[in-house]
Amino acid sequence: MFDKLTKWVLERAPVNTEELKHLSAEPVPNHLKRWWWCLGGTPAYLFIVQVVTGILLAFYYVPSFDHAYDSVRYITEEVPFGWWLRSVHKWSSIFMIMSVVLHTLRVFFTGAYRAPREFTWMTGTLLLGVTLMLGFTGYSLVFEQLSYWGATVAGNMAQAVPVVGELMARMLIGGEKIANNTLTRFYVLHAGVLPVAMVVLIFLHIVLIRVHGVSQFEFRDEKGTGKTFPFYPDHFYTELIMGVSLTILLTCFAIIFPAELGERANPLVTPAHIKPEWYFFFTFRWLKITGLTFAIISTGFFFFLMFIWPFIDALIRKFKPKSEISVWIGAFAFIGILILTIWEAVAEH
Amino acid sequence: MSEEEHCKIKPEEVTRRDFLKTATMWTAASSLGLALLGSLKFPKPALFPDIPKTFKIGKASDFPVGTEKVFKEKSVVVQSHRDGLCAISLICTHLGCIVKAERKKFDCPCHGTKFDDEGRVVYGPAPKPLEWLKISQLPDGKLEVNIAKSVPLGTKFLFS
Repeated sequence: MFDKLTKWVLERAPVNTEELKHLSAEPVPNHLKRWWWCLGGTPAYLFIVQVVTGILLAFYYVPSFDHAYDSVRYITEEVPFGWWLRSVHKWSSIFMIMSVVLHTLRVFFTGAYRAPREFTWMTGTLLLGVTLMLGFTGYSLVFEQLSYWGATVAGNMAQAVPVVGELMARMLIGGEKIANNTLTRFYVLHAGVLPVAMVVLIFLHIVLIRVHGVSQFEFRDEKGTGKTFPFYPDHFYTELIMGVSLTILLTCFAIIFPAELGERANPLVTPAHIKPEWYFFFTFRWLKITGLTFAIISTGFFFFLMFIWPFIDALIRKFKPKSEISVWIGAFAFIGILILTIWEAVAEH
Repeated sequence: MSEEEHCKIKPEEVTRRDFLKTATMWTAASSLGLALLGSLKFPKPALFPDIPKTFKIGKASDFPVGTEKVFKEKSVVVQSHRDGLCAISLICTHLGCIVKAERKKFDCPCHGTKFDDEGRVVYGPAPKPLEWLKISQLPDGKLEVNIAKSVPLGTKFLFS
């Protein structure tokens, strides 16, 4: 019966299963057996969790000035398992940002961005940017105090960008003040534009990884052995274990630390203690200690440098072939961001 | 071949197929470009909510010397001094948060800018002092503040 059905389907959708097996069994280097090399697949899994929980949350969410907050409260307090779905959505976003950051660090410090993998790195940095934007638009949609003032600050930051700032701010906010237009725009970005951009970038990223193969990285104990193992089933199962562990972890976090709902957005009062989500602590602190225009230009310049780093590194290595300067610069930048983040986390103001 | 004939530029032969191909490509590209330009204009709202730029604050006698009144709805504080009234905006000049009006100072909760009693930056990242706004008297004697019209820092208005 099953064979007949398979035959019937294959006649209409002639998929070459042998070819598929060959494609999925791509040999990958032995170092991929280490858990740190699962960090690329982890955000992809978490993104799927985000899409599924996001679609379910969208059944009840209303992106309007008057109803956004109440609809989130309804999801959290009334809808069966709404609190759990919202919490899993929130925690998977936090884990996703953490894993993308860790993956970026791993790729940077192992020099995996070097030729011919420059485009893979560039799509990766764009993925990091899209992930952060998804995080920001996500917490803005809750429309609590943090959402409103976060969006106000973001709109004014956009306005301070030289030349195109005014236009950018108007496009983002959809008027002079945060209002209905802002929420619908953020919703369109969060649930439409950014996820589609994410899918396209993930696709490009994976295609580039398949084209160039996983970067060779040998530990001392396996130098010169050139050992490989098939992606499927070996590495696939490693990723699967990671996925199952994450699902358990997400549920634990959702139950122990459920997503809370702060005070309703009040355009007339900025709360006394306001801080963004932890992943924006470094920009928040940077904005406190430097002038506005400098803070914005330097942050933009930092991300631009990060985006084109493979070419800068190539230039440095052209003149100093054995230079480790990239590692030092990377370590300096990372420690700098870490200091700003911790500073903001512990400081009262 | 004479020199004159040699210098003549011979036109490149264009086949009907080539011409149609080029024309189609340019038509498609230009219509797509124009459509894109049109779409870029779309996100700019055609209508903005009409937010009133002025609001009434009462009569001059409502502000005895040495008092101040916060108009929370408009994010403005009106202070009464010996030499007149002044209206100071409570919107931080850094990134638009509402500053907290305390005795003799204003504090921004977002990025920590501290302003003195006249709105000058004492500490923090705000690039400019708080905005001072125009106060005018209406024919019925009542005063109104214009949130769209700023005046130089320190400007005070005397009304009878």
